[in-house]
Amino acid sequence: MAKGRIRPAKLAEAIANHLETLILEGSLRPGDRLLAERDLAQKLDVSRPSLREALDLLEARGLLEGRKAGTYVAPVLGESFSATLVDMLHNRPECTYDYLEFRGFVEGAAAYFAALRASEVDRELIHKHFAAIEAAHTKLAPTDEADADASFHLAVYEASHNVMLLHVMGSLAGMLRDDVFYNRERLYTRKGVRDLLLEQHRAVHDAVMRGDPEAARTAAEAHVTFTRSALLEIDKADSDLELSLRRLATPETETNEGTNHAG
Amino acid sequence: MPGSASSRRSDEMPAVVAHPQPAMPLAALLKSHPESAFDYLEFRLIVAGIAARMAAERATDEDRARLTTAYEAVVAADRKADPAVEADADAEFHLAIYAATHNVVMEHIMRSIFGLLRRDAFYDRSRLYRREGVRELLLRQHKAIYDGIMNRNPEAARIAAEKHIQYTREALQESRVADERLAVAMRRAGRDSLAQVADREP
Repeated sequence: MAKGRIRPAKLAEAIANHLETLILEGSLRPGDRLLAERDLAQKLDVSRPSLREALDLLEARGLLEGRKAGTYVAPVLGESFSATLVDMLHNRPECTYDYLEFRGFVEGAAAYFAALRASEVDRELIHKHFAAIEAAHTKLAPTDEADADASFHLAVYEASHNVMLLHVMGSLAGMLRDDVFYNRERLYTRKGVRDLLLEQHRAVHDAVMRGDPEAARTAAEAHVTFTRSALLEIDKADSDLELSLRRLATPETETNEGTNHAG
Repeated sequence: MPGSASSRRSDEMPAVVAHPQPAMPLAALLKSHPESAFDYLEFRLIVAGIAARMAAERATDEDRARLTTAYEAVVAADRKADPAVEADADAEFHLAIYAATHNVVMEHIMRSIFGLLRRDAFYDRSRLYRREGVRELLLRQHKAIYDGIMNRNPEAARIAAEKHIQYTREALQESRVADERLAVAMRRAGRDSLAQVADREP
């Protein structure tokens, strides 16, 4: 609000605000390493002392960290946001299904808004990541495919143009990449799953590209619901297998209970 | 993995492991970008309806008791008309709903986000509350959400929760526009402090 007092912003303050906006809108992501001071000063066309002062300001606000060995964008939701989730998942692996339940709803909304709001540049990016999924799929490279998968979803969050959604879902996507919620390879190497996931990503991609919010929401929700059921099935199959292995290891108990649990 | 999952009983662990809660850097970011309050409210809108629906379906007797206590605090705070107390009661009421969803991941995420709200980080709730009629409407909306969950009516709870956030969004929008208009009016009123006024008052 105009107070009638006009003061030129200090250069350092203006630089800090600029970088802050880049972090808020996701143009700089948590974990990104900034250019060395000299290069960054050149890039922004400002003096090094002003830049250094700006970086100090941002560090004090908790937006940058690790100034000694290179300057990194801090996790904007705070360290404890993911640390708490990691603990939770470690203590109670079944929280994975809570994660997928929550994500299903938000993923649907993200795709809905992406279909509604994606700019030309957003669309190109979404398309590029989908093409990468397809390429990895054909090459039978599950790790590449899983990474392209994560990038594809992040591009959808960006295209939703909601910074709150972007930061929350972006930080969950980062954890997904680290296999915090489930082992992605276990999912991807399961027979038939990869083909189905590819078709689901295609459905989200197509709906966003043609700007159909309702179809995008339905496709994104179906995708996460499928992931959830697939993981449940894998968990169940694994524990069935474990059970039969235990029974094989102790044959005397097997005779009592029969063999109908195999597989 | 599944072995360790089944060997742990879910009630052995507290739902949310407490980590020391330093300020969320995002809070400062949102504060310096007032328009992002609408992104925050849109995100709340996405989650609030689902959470209310899930709470109506899943709330246990303990959840219902906590929700009732929280709702009564909202009503009591309304009588006191103290914005700070009201904001706390409001946050606790919504957190009680998230707890009743029995989705600990959702609860953790929304609790982290509510940290922003509780500290009044990026929109001035007291200003919102001071506006004519807002307080009464918000109270009625909280009652509708509460009733929907207590009556185990998921659809009613969902609709009430979504309306509540939509209303908050509109009220915030109006209050921002009103602030702008006030600022303009004040600058006009003060114009003789900057210039010798050219025209004559009628």
